[in-house]
Amino acid sequence: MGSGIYSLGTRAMFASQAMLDTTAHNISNVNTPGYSRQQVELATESGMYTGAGFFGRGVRIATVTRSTNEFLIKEANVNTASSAADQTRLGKLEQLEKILPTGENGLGYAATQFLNTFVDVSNQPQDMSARQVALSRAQEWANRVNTAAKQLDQQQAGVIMDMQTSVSQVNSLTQKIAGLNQQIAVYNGSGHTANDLLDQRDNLIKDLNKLVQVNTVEADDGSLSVFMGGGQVLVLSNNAQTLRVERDAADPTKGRVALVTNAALNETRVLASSQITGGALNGLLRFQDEDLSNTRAELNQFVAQFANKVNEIHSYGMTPDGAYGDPIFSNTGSPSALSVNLSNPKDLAAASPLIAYASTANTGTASVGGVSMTGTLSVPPGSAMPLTVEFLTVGAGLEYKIYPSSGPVPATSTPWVPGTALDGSSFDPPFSLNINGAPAPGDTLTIQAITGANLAGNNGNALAMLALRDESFVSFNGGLDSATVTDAYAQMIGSLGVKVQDGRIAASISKTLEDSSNQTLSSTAGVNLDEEASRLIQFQQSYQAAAKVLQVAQTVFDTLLNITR
Amino acid sequence: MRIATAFRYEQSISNLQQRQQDLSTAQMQLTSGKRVNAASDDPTAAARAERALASIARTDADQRAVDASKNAMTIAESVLGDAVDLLQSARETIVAAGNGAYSASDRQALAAKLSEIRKQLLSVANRPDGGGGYVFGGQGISQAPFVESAAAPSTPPAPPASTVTFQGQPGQIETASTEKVNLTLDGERIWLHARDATGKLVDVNVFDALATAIKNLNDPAVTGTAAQATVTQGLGDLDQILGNMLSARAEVGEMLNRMDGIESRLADSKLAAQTEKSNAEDLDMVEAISQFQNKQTGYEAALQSYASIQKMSLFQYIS
Repeated sequence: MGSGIYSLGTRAMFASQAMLDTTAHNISNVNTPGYSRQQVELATESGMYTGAGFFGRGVRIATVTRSTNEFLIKEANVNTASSAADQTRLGKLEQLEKILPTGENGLGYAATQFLNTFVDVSNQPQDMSARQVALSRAQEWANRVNTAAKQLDQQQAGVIMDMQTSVSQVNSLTQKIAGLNQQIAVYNGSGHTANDLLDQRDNLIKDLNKLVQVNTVEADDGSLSVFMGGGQVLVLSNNAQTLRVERDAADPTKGRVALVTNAALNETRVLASSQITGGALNGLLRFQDEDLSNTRAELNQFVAQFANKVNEIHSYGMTPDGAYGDPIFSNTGSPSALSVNLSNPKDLAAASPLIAYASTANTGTASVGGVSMTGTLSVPPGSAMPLTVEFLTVGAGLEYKIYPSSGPVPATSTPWVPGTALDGSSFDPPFSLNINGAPAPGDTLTIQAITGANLAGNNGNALAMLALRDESFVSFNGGLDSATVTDAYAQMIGSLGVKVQDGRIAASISKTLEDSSNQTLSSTAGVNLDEEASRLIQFQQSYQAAAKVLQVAQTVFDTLLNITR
Repeated sequence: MRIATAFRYEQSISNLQQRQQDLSTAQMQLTSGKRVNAASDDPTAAARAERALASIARTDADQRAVDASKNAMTIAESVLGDAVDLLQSARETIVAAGNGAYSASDRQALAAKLSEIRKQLLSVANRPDGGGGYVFGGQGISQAPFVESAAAPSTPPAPPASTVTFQGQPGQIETASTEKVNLTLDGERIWLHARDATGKLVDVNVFDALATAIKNLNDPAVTGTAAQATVTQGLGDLDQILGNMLSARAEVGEMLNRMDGIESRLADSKLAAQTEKSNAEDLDMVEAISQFQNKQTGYEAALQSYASIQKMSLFQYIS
């Protein structure tokens, strides 16, 4: 009996001591990321059977467990992965938005300002300084386009660098997980859980989810197999796969994540983007494949359509020297290489090759609103000039015919619809003639080629350039609806703005989900200092009580010894 | 529910940061005066502002076009005024030549005066617009539009026939503004045509009419009824020409009037575009200031609650 109380007291003291130690461990790790609160599991030692029944033999330390919840961990991991993907994409989108600025720093404004300089050219076509300003503005627009294109290239390079960093972090994490799997499997047979190792492994998996979303499956030996969201295995037992970033075979500017299948032979297999369902890598790939490439395509289309249209209209005009306009822009297909082809202000084709005027004998109010050239041209004009436009009454309606003044007069005529241009597309050069006012039957207009001395002062083609401000000729992705230069750029920045806004909302939602699942998990696994403080007092008291038992045991034993004295 | 201590601290920190960020955004908007600093702040408003900005630039460009036309038309108006004055004085001279008491030498003196007037008229008709072009340049000729093709009939007694022709092409060049106005006038129509008594436009060359009068007045053989016929013919031509010049002058004056209207419409549409741009992207100051104060209060409250909650711990009470 006497030895019973000693061992009972000692065990109770051990148990309290263990609980105090664990509480101290909890307090120590209050700020350790991934730490799960631990507690000592106590059990009653089975009783000793005697003739007088079962006598309790005190307390026994069963094991130390950690407070955790597999389901909550998985949920937190999924939310962490999607939050990391959205955050990464948002960061990149916010940079992308700066490449296409709004207002006076934007490409749309620079393009319309370039066109607006033709107002001064049309005011004083002989003034070389006005023409020089037009060329300088063209250069300014080209420079802005170059800068934007180069910044897009830099963004793409930045995406690849970030992918490489992320992938090397993934490789390091999977190696560590494989190592921990091995250590954990060693302790698996002992009947106790290696709490701190498990915490470490869970934390590594959480870090891994920030980079790429993974699922885990626990094996019988306690090791955890790690699969990417799309099913590709990353860690199997103590064996980790290696990832690598490679250039896309179809588009070498883009990066792809590949799996090293044979390190010795340098063999790899590119992973489809559908394999990477979350994490920073997912955000980077989505940004690269959707946002960046869309923006790049829109920029390419915007620049090419505008520059080609300007070149086309310019080619219809004539320089003061009587030559048709050379292209203003070269390399229109590549924004990073776009440049201004003209350097001499005299090469700007401000004059129209054809001029028109109303006959002084006309009785109607029709006046010439301008001749617009509509197609490829030849010097000198292939059709015999001048041409006569004659209005005549056919039935109840007014019709017109256009024919060489030298004849012959065609028999058929075309109905005239007020407000529409007269069609001269069958002539060389082809044209359309705008008229203001209303012609009377019998009225005639004359169209003739411009003559030498008038080339320097005519502004017909400068006006045609200016008309581009109102013409809808820019369309994106082959869409049927085209827009003016201003509207097209407004569309571009608008759709990019919507993307950034959506990205911001998505990032805020997934961040909230991540926070809330982390909170739920931490309420199970985290350490609360107030709780630990109260436990400290509780275990301190039980330790004191156990010590008191030993003291009593000693007194009892002393009493026994004193009997024999 | 258990609150993990570390998580609580983490959350308070991130909340504080969030509030600080909100406050800084509100402050940035207040200092820049803009609600939309990037397209993502409000994509629709950014697109609206972009269009409004283009409209502002457009009205500025239109205004420059109208200014150029105004300059050219003001010159044209004064040129036509000068031309009318010269023609009036030519008319008086021809009327004087009709005086039957005048001798041949008197008429030659008047012819010399007419010849001077004709020279002045030619230089007036070739008045440059100050930008390398000519007011009566038609389709934009870059050299003097009216050219005299033989020596002036100033050397009595028998001058060679001379004529002035229009070198440009008929018509005019117009500005790039939305409402078109002229940059040049059709020299041929104004100087070489006039309406006859029936109102039909006929070829009347002002220089040729004067040259004929000068030639006849210089000719001592032309006397009596022949001289009278010259005077009558000259007066008839000059009256037609004067009528034509006056109507051209009225047209130019009307165009200048119209430009005043255009300018005020341009100013209106610029103001409208500026208002649109401001509505789209500028900050409502009253609302912004009240929101800023709101956020400031929020941040202060967060700081205070953090300071008071962090003192609350069981460890403060056990010893």
